[in-house]
Amino acid sequence: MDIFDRILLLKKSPVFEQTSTDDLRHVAQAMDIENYLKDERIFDIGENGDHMYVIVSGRVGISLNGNPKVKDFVAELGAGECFGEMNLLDNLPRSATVHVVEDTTVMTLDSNQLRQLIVRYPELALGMLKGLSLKLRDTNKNKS
Amino acid sequence: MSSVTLQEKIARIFLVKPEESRVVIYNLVLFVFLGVGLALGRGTADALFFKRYGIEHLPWVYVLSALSLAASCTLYAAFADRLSSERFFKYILGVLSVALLLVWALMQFPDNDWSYPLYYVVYEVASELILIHAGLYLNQNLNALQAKRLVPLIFGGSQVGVILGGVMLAVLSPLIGVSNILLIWLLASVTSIVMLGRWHHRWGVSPFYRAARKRKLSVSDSMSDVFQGVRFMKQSSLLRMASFSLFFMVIMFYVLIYSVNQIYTETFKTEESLSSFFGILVAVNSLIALTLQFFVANRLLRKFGVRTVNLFFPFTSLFSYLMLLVSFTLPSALIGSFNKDVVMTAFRNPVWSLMMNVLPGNIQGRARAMTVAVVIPSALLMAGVLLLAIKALGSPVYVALVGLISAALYLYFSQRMNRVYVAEIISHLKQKLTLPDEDGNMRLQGSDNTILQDLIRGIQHPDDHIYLAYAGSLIKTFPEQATEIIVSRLPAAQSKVRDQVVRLLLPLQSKMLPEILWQLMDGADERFQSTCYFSLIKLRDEKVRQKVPDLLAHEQARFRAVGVMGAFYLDEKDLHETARQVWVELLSSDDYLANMFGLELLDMAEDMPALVDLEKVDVKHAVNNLTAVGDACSCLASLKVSAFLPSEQMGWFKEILMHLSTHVDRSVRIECLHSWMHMDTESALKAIEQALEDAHPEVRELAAELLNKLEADENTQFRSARLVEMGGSPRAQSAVMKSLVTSGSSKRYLSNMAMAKVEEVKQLNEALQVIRQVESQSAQSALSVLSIVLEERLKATIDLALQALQGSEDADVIQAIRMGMQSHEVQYQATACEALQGLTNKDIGRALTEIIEAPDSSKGSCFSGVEQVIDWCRKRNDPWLHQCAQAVQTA
Repeated sequence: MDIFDRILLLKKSPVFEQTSTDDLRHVAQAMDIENYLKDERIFDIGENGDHMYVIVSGRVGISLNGNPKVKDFVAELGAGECFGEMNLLDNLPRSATVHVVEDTTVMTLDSNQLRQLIVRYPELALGMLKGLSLKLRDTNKNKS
Repeated sequence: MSSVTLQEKIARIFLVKPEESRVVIYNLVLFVFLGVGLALGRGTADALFFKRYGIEHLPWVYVLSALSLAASCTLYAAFADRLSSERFFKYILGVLSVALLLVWALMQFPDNDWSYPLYYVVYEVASELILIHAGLYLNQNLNALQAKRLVPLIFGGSQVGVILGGVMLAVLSPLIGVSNILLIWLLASVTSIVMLGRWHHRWGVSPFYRAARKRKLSVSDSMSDVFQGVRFMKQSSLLRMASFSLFFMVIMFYVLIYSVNQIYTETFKTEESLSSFFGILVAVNSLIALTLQFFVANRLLRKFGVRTVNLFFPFTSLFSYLMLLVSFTLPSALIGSFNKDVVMTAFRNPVWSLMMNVLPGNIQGRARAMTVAVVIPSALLMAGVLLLAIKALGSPVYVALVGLISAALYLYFSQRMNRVYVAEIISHLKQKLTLPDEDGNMRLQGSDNTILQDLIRGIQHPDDHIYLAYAGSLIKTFPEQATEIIVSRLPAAQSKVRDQVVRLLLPLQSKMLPEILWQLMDGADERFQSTCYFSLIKLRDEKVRQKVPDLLAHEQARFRAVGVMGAFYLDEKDLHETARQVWVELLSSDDYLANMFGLELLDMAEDMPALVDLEKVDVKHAVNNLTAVGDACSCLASLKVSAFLPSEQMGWFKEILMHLSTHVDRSVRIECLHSWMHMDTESALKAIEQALEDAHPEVRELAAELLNKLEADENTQFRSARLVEMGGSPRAQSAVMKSLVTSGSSKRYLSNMAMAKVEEVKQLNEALQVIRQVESQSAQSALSVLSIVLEERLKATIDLALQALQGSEDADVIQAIRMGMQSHEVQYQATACEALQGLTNKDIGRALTEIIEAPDSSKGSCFSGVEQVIDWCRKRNDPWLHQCAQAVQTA
């Protein structure tokens, strides 16, 4: 998977969609690849975590059930979709459990890596802020 | 030819994008029904009134219409911003339908003569409200860029309706009688209500509707809204000029109606013949208006801009009155009708709507309503009174003369309106995007006691960082009171913050500071103590002189360094030799902290010339030692030697500089750049070019500034120009451009630079269109990324062109346009685009507007195919674009 595939995947994430590719290429390079098998759990509800994930291939299910073993999916995500992105910024406990529905490959980035990237490439943060601000606007619009 | 191709062709002729076709068709059909109704209403109201009641009473009906309009528009104003435009539209049409039914019923009684003036007033009020509200409705459903293309087209739909209505009137009047035509208008209104309901039930409320505050309505609230609108007229020069222009336009318009109808009533003897003539006249005029609106108006708007087209109608009105003055006969009346039905419809109405678009969205409805609640009724009243007065004189020449004067004043105020139009756009953008115009502290300077109290509260804040930030502001705004207030909080602060605060206070040279420092030193940690000694030496305190020998002999390097400083800064000649020896020891020590304290003394070299003579002192050991430690503080200290190194030592130091130029900390990279300026020019230029592509904007900006400085020394702008012309990443170019603009480069030079960037914008746009065509048929990710990068470059280069214009146009205006363009709100982008047309450099404004509004309509003369685009991208001096193009070619 080359840097261009990674950039295209990152561009689909609300956090990075407004980020310039000049900065996004550094994020793409810093991301790790992880593989999960069917029926594994990527993380559980309530646990601490600071990684965001972008699905390269496969499928995962999102469950809000307090018992992480219960597969009560409120949504299923596939290639190109991302999850856990808010934990990059807020470090709060996970608000859902992510079950692997099909064998899945994901790209991951943790908040520490992100912090280092922002120090080195400060305009990256501006792009992320734009993305988050647009998401907030959309939410407000939908709400109203 | 496939139907899709035909559809595309039609869409291209009418400037409709594929995704807009649904909304355009809906609005067209809706406006057709509205147009049918208005045509039927106009013809029947005129014919019935002139023949059954008498045209001589028309001035009185104008007076009555003025009063009715004022009342109904006040009510309209009260609701205009509170209800979504579609809901309000339904209410207006609903009330109209009921009124039509009632008037028709009254007309069935032969004795009710007054039902005809009543119907005339109903028509006047309803047609005015429908026209105004139709504009607001479109504004809430189309963004400003769409509006510019589609409003003429959609208003064209109403013209189709008017033609249909005219034909129906001509055909049906003799068949079913003029009064029964009212029922057909009623049917058209009900159909419009159904259409509005169904569309918005499916697609939701108007997308650009912004609800104003909600409260219970009352008559006093409505009046208050009227006054708010009037107040806004006072504040907005555009609305003020527009109101004057509208006032004289209305007088001119109604006097024209009176004049031409006098001629028609005399020419056509029966109610049916007059009604049929009105039907044919309306149909023919509307057909011409429609043709102009569909094929000419939007193209003229794009070519000449809103302001030029705004003057068409005033000029043709003047001509119409001149004709009436020359000959008060049927041909002149037909010219007058052509002017009010064709020119006004095709050009004046769309332009008026576009100009009102510039006003802030939240008051647009109220502002529009105010023009109708106050301006139109008062103008109509004035027209009625003038006609009544002139009627006594007996000659129609006087009527035409009044119309001519009104038309001249209308032209004058339209020109004034044009002048303030761009200013209003910029002011709106500035308000919305809250541009920083000056340093905050500068604004606070000399402020009142309230600000001081606020700053004092900030100083007392338990968070040390907030305390520090407020201390900085207080020093800049109230320097005389600052020391006393800031030190009162100092004992409670952490040691590191105390250090920073004391260093902030030093430039104030306050007489009370030494005493405070001596007090604070008791019981303080060593770090803060050394800071206190340092500060006391800087303040040339007498007591601290006695301490210098002790400091030189102190076991800690930190204090020894302060001692060295004391000996030279206070010029204690007896201690010079000892101090120099201590300094050499600090520099040759294996302890990197000792090296650091030793090199930091170079900061004060200007005040201690006797100390600094690096030809006799070996600093290489200290520099290497600190560079090896690698943290930012150590590296920064090591770079302090650059200004003092003799030329024979430059060789080894350049290697250090090259190594530190890629340091992760930007402050080190910044200091490196300053250090390069002490090396030979060639090395410095190479380092600067490299730094222009740095990841941090501060480094890039400094590089551009230094480049400018070097070039100023050499009296040439060759290298900057080359950097901008040859490409480079947009960020690097932006830094160079900013430096060129702020350094006061000539207007002509910057204007040429902007033109060069506009040419580049055209090339980038064409390259992007070519890549997009191929991208849709390819699964290559590099190609998709190349497409994204080209789009980013296109936007950045548009910004660069504008940035260059900041030096040759009004910088504030350009800054507002740039902010608007970068905004994610389509409305602000559209307003910024509109403002581009007001630039002094028309060529640049027009070229940029064309690309922004219709990027896919480029002529495609730059590239013959995708290979040429990729080759062009590869040859660009832009590292990332080059990398993407290279990857596409390899793949």
